[in-house]
Amino acid sequence: MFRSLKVWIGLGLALAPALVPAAPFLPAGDEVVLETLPVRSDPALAALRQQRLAVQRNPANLDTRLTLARDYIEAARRNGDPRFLGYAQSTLSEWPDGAQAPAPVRVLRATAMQSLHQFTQALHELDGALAQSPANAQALLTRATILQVLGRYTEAQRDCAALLRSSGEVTSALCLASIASVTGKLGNARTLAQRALDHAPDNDSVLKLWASTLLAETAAREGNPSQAAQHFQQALAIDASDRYARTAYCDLLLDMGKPQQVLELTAALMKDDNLLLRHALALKAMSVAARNSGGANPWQAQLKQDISELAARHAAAAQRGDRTHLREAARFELRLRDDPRAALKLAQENWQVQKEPADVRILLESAQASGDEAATREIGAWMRTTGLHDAQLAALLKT
Amino acid sequence: MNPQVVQRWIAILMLALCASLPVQAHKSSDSYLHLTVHGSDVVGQWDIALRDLDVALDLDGDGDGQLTWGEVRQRKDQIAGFAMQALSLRSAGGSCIPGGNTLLVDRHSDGAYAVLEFTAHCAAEVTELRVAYHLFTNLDAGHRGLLNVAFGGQTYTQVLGPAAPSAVIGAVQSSAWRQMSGYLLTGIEHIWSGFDHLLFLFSLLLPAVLLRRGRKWEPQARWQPAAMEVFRVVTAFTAAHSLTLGLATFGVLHPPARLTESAIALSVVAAALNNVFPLVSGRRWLVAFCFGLIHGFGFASVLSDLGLPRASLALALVGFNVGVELGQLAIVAVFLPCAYALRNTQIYRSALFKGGSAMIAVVGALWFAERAFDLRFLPVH
Repeated sequence: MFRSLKVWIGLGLALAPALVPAAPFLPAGDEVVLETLPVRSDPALAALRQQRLAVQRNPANLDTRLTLARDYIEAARRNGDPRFLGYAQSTLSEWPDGAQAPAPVRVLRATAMQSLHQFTQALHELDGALAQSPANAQALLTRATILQVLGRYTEAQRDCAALLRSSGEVTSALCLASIASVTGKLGNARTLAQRALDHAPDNDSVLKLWASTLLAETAAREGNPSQAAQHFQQALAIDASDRYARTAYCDLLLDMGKPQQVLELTAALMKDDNLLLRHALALKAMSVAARNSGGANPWQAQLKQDISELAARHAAAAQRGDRTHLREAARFELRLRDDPRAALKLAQENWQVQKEPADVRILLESAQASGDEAATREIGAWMRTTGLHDAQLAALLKT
Repeated sequence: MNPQVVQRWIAILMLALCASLPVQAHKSSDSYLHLTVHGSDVVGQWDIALRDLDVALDLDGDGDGQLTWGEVRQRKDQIAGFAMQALSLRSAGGSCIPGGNTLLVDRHSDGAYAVLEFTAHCAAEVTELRVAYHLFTNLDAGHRGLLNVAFGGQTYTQVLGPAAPSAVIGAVQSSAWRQMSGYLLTGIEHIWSGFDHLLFLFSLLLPAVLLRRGRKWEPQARWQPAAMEVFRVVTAFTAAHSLTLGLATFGVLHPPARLTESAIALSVVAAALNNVFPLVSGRRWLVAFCFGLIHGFGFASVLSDLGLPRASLALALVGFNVGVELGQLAIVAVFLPCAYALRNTQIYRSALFKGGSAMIAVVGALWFAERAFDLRFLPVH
């Protein structure tokens, strides 16, 4: 016995050191590529480096600074990459927080904050900006958007109405239409959004994108998914880089039972946490279908990988105290980890921050899945007060 | 097979390979700063994203959008200088002077990171550590430093950033008894959650209530021989691991963790296999002693990760070791009566003893593969 033991130990000792390097490691040679920088997939970012150097050379020039911050925020939106929001905030941070920064600076700060779900701080900046220049269209629009996310519809409508004078009919109509769409006035929303789409100047892709996305969401709420899908396709034809429309379209396709299309829409964009979640949800749907039909299940391995990747990202976010992904985290727990209790806790936390129809939906789904009738009743009451109508939510409440 | 089919297979394989490559996340910028206080030294490991360093230092020399090790390595001094300038470590006696930078690379969920390893020397034994953090302050308002400090047997974590750039970490001034009981609990916790130690112990204890006669196992007739056997095994294991735990803690012996961890896994396999294919049936205590020496190094690495102050090293060692022994004793106290009561049953002799040992051997072998080859496939490590 002792001889064979010795053989084993000897084998272990001989093998252990000569192994794959443990992390951290020394790369094998100078030519090893360690990292691919974002500029490689988005060449427009190269210009930002030059702009930043220009700002460093001449920090007093407000215009170059505002342009750089705006471009960073746009890069964050286009790439779904929050690092650019941090760069934008640094570009705008010369004025100590709370001090009187010029109104355009405060509006851009608020835009970055809104993307990071820092709604209270964003509203504070916007109130300040609007006190300085009451007709600032960008400030009014951003504030209306945030107030709508918070479920403060009356105040949001007031800002939309004020937009009529500072920004014109189309913007103001779209602003009102998006509130109408989440307060049960679906017919109004559809008419206003369609009219805005028809009247928006041909070269104004932002307004056209917004109108198409809103038409899509409204059609889905009306219970007309194929119409909604057409509008989403229209929106992505206007701007394929828009993550909001793409994510919402994926959710629609998941509801329609078309996970294969979701895989196609998300395949190349899984750096984005939101799109990775949709990718995983699509795999889950296909995996369940394969299991039910008794055939082979080629999706299981990739699904497992997606789930562990998402778990790692949520853990990394939690470590830095990041609370932007509560809604997605709740969906992850409910649908991919089958833990309705954890999902409900996250959905309720999320509900303290935002109150969009998607937030209502995850809250309702996790309340029902964990058999929490009090929470379910509360959501029903909230929907009656606001008038929110949504075909999917209505179906959930009937069951 | 015709060439077209071969080509298609290659394409499919490539696709499968790409699909299984990890996806890098888009996340806000974080650095990971681990500090361990050893007496008057602060040992640091600082992981900073290469992508962030490129924004600050323009590392991509040839501007092709890819960072090679050559591009990073050549700028090592600037990277270290830039980073260390943004970090200040102070103890009550004044600044701690960082030195001995090593540059390595690691991967996190959002890409490759530069890993700076350094040791900062403070004027006197650190009683309170002040960390001030200003990395990327002017560049990225969303950047955070995730600080993790092992100090005086405890771990402190804090998120540092523009709003809260500094942390003060003081070893909790508590009585010797309180410190000791802290280490004692850590010891108990480690043996109870250290499945490798437990499975090793079980492999040696399972046969204690049986007797090998010729080629067959028979139940022990009386409880005294069974208890004596357990006593011998546990004492030998304890003596051996206490010895190496002490030697390693005081820095006399310091084998690499990967080697000892792999050897511990191997000891589980050997002890369990011996029940299925018996080679040693008499002197099990000797097996317990030999392998116990290796397990001691495993305990020592747990203790050293706690960042022990030099002054209370002996205290920590005694507390931790007593904790391990108490935890072990509790397990034996539950195990022995159960095993003795069941020893006459067929279930014990085939399912629990043989089947259990075989399962332990398989788990041990998987652990060995994981630890020696840096793989992951078990939920418990």
